[in-house]
Parts: sequence; C-alpha cells; structure tokens
Amino acid sequence: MTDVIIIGGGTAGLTAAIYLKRNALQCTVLESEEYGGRIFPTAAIDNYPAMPGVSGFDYSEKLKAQAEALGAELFMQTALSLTKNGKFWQVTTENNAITARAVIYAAGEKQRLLNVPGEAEFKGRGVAYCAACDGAFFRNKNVAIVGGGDKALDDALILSRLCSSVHLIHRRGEFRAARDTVDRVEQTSNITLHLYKTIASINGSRRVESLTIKSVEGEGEETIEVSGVFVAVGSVPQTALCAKFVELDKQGYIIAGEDCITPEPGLFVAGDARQKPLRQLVTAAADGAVAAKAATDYILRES
Amino acid sequence: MVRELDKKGFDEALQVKDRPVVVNFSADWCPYCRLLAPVIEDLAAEYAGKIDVYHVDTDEQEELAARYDIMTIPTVFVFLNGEVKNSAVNPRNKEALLDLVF
Repeated sequence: MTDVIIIGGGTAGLTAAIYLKRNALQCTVLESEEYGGRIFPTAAIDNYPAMPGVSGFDYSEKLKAQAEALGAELFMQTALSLTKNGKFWQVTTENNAITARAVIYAAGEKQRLLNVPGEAEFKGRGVAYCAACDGAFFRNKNVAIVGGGDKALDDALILSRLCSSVHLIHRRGEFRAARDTVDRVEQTSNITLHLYKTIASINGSRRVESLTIKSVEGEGEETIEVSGVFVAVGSVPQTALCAKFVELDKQGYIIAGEDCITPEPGLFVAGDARQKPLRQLVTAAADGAVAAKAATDYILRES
Repeated sequence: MVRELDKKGFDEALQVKDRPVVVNFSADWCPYCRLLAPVIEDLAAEYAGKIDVYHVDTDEQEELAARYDIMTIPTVFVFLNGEVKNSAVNPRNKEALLDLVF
C-alpha cells in the first residue's frame, strides 16, 4: 500500500514524485522504458529554462536521482492493468500488484509506427526512428525519411549532410514543420520530395534494400532503392490503460483541465497524455507539480 | 571487466572455445549506449571467467561495425566458438542479456 502510484517516469511523473515526497506522501513510480521519457535520446535540450544545451541523458539522470534522493520508489516495470476497488486503486505489473489511494497517470506518448509490411522485420536492419542516433551508419548511402513535421524535416537535414541522397515522403502537399526548416529542406539539393505519397512496403532480404511508395489514393506504385528508412510520423498517446475511467478526445488524449483532475475521484493526469495545446518539458513538469498538489489535497480530504 | 577491442583484438577474442563471448557495439555519444554500459559492466563482473565481455566503439572501429552490419546502437552480439550465436538491439537489462547468452 502506498499513497500514490505514478504511471510513467518521464518529466511529468518524476516531477509529481518530487512534489509528493516534499508533501511527505509515499509514492511509487512505474516506468517501462527510460526514465526521463521521450526527451531521453535528445542530444541537446535548448528550451528548458536555465539549462540550455543539457543532454536528454544527463537531464533524465538528474531528474531520476532527485526523485530517488527524496525517497520515491522507482520500478522499471510496465503497468499492465489499472482497477479501482472502493476508494483504492490497484495497478498490476509483470511482477507486482500495488495498491494506492490515488493514481497520477503520466504515461505520455509513444512514437507512431508506420504499420506497413517490412517495418517490424527490418527494425534495426535499416528501419530507424532517430536520425541523430543512427544516421552515421548510412553515410554515403541512399535513405528515405517519412513524415512532414518538425522532426521529419530536421532529420531530413541531418541525413542530407551524411547520405548521398534523401527521399522525403509525405502524405500531404504542405509540411507542418517551421517555415525556415521547410525552406532549408527545399533548398537542399540532395533531398527529393515525394508529396501526396504513402508507404506501401519496406523491402529487402537481410536488410532494407528498397521502399515502395504509392499515391494517397493507392495508385502508381514506385520502388526506390534505399538502405535506410527513417520514420518520423508523430506520436500516439498511451491512454488505453485508463480509458475506462476518463474521456478521451478524438486523438486519444485524456480530457482534463489545467488542474490535472479527472472526473474519476483519485485519478489525476499529467504530461503529454493530457489534452493540451503545447507538449514540452516545461509543460510536463508543470503538470507533474499541479497533479501532485491535486493528489495531495485529495488524499488529505479523503483520509 | 569489459575490455575494449580493435580489429586485431576482435579476431583474437573470438578464438576462445570454452565460453561465450559478448561484444557490445556502441559509442559514447549514444544515450541508450550510456544507459546500457553499467548493465554490461555488471554482467562482466558477475560472470567473470564464465563469459568474456568486450566493447567495440563503432566510431573508432567502422570496419568491424560494417562487418557485422551494425545499423543502430547499442547492438550486442554473442559468439560461441567463433560463430554468431545471437544478437539484439539494446537489450535493456541483465535478464535480456542472459537470454542472449544462455
């Protein structure tokens, strides 16, 4: 039995843990991948106040250490189920069942997959999700990048400096990325744009050898020889676990206000999984603090 | 102890017959590699004399990285009698590593 289970050990979840411990409450944080969350692989964070240039790794290690030093209990385990029995919440993981008075749901988002033939098969064999991490292995080769947002276009620019040619594949006619990034991409001679196109399949024997694209209407298949396919097609909220307790918007984000309170007593939501206009470290940290305050008030009121 | 390998050392390391050889292909700028490094060190310490554990810096040893078709890091290879027994991208914890080795 603990006071609060925090599902997700990213910025929102670990900030909530810090605030709960400072309120002298017990908390258990469950994280299934990396502490720090999606910021973890970032080479340099340039928009978090007073920490310009800090790496995602260093930031995440400091955040985790701060929560641990205050006495938060951190488990590298996946929350598999969330149930409510009377006033108490129960979360099961692969090797634990934990009961608590309240839950802060901070599971965030995951990278969206293409879900096309060949993607899973060639993951790490030419299919990659991070140009800054894996781009160097495709030096002087032909690659493709899929997506139309900031990450896709930034990655296209990174790859254009390393690779012989870059095929940018996007299902729309315009890009969502910042205007100056789009301008730079359009001016880069070794980036070829394939607009109104989607991926039919990623092909190869032992590793990626080519990519088949088609029009958004499903016509005109074309195969391009590439050694790498980088995927940057956005994010999906991780909200399935708590969907039965809350209302989700069309994209799957949890509908809750800036107070992080859900209609379900004892369930709070913080960070990127919540419906909000801006998903950044600073808004995740703010949510963590606000959710911890709301959970503290709830526990004091109910006990 | 995790020992650093170059091309010559690599070929020698694979000669060993009586125990598995674990090789972690990674680079120091890679965040997932930095997270895996202490896990690999723990494995080497706990199984000293039973498993040989090595590191190959993929920035320094491009030829070795290319030989094993490394396209993402960290990638861990397990060799037995000089042959590839198993490999995995980013085995996050000791259990995942032991699954590759035994």
